Amino acid sequence: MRLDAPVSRFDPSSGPVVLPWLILFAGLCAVYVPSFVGLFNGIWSTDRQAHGPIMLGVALWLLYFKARSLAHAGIRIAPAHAAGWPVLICGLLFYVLGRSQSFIFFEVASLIPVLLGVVLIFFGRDAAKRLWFVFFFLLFVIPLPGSVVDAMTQPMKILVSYLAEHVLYWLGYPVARAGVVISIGPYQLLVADACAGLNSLFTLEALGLLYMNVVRHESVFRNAALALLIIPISLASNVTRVMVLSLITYHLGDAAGRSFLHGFSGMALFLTALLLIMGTDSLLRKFTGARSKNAAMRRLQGKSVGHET
Amino acid sequence: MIRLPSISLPVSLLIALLSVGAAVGAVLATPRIMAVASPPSLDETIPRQFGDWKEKSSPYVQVALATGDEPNMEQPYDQILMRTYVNSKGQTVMLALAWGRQQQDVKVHRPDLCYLVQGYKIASLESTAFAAKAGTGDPVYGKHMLATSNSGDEAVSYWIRVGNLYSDDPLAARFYIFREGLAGRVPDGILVRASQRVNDAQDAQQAWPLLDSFLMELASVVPAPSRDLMIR
Repeated sequence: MRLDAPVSRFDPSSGPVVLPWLILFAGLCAVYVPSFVGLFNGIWSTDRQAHGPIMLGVALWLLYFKARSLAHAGIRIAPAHAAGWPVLICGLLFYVLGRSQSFIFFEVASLIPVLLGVVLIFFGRDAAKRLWFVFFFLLFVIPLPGSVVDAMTQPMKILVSYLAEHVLYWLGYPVARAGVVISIGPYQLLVADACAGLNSLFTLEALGLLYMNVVRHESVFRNAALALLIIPISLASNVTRVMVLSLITYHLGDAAGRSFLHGFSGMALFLTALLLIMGTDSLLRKFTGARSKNAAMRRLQGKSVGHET
Repeated sequence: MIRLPSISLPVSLLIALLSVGAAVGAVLATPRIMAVASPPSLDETIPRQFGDWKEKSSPYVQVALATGDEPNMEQPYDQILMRTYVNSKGQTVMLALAWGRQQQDVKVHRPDLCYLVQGYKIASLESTAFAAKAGTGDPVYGKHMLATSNSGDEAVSYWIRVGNLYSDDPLAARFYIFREGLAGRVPDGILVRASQRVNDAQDAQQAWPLLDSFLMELASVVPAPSRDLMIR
């Protein structure tokens, strides 16, 4: 950073200057409104990528949340033109390529360098560093290529079916399985893509990371362990969901399995996952607690002071 | 609310201009030249009777052509044809054609994946060359597959054409579509698949030649525009 660069601070008293922001916003809308309209009408309306809109909503909220904290952080504003322009222009080129060649992955992924470039150009590296989690979180908004979803969904579907079949068999139910078709008593259930849990895995992973970022755990080990453990947790939740559906169908009939209870099984999934995440988190806290107890105490005290002011 | 910090008007103007430029550029760079502008209807042009083969209604449901379970949203094809033919010896062959314009988000699905999804195991999958390109003598590269399941085995002969490319490498196909797209062209692609129910691997050895000759006979009798969809 050049020492003679103009250095100022976020200063709430200087009053908003809206026009440049409006122009910037309009420009970015010209680029991304068509993309997101396409996503909403296209793959985001399918079960396989249904987590997309939730992720977008959370990412926007996060951007607002972090930007607001930025205004109070009083960080240095030192526009980093040399870094910002290449990043922005690369992002826009990715967009042109992705949009014109229907590479949705590139088209949406370009949002990250474009926003990063804009932040660098106007506010510089410190602000960009403060916002890193927003840029990271935008990764979850990018729709996965169909081939990747296919490649990951198939083994997961088969694994979920396999585990559900074995647990049900162990519980003494008349159950058999061919591929992803589970036969229980007189009924046959096809384990659908949505049950494989790729999107629920992504949603849980994203929300877990969000939780950790907002709560600001200090232990890196605990953060990393929880982020990794969300994968088996998601798998276990999906197995639970398939088992719940199988049992509903077996005991209450085919119609029940297709009724509102199908939606209920989705809730059961998130409840299971939530309980497992909270349980795992408190176990991890016990494990790492002894070491970071003092740090946690300091943090808690700091927080309560923050509330009073 | 956030109190917005002031930003430079010229810089925001420049970024907005670049953005609008990118949006316009993307529209201009979108490929528009269709490899096949007005494709013939496969259902109308693929004969229901040819040589010794005759269409019959089948009690079997064929293995689906997509891997997702949402046919409306993830249906990657413009035209699908599924028929069952029988010959005078009583041999039954299932034919599946799936043709569509190819882009990065709509590509022909590989049959080995489709069969896997429907609960089959892929017992064998071997490359083969069909002498189907009449006149030129160039072979068409495809596969012989044996898929097994609890409800019966199937021998399958198929090829996938994307533009002029016969490849089972999805990356090669993507790269081909990408190069065509940069040149402003939207290529087309097709899956040509014939299958027969068999009892075991021994049976499959006899089924594949029958399936191959069925496909080649079909390719030789369909009208030229339809043949162009099957083989190029």
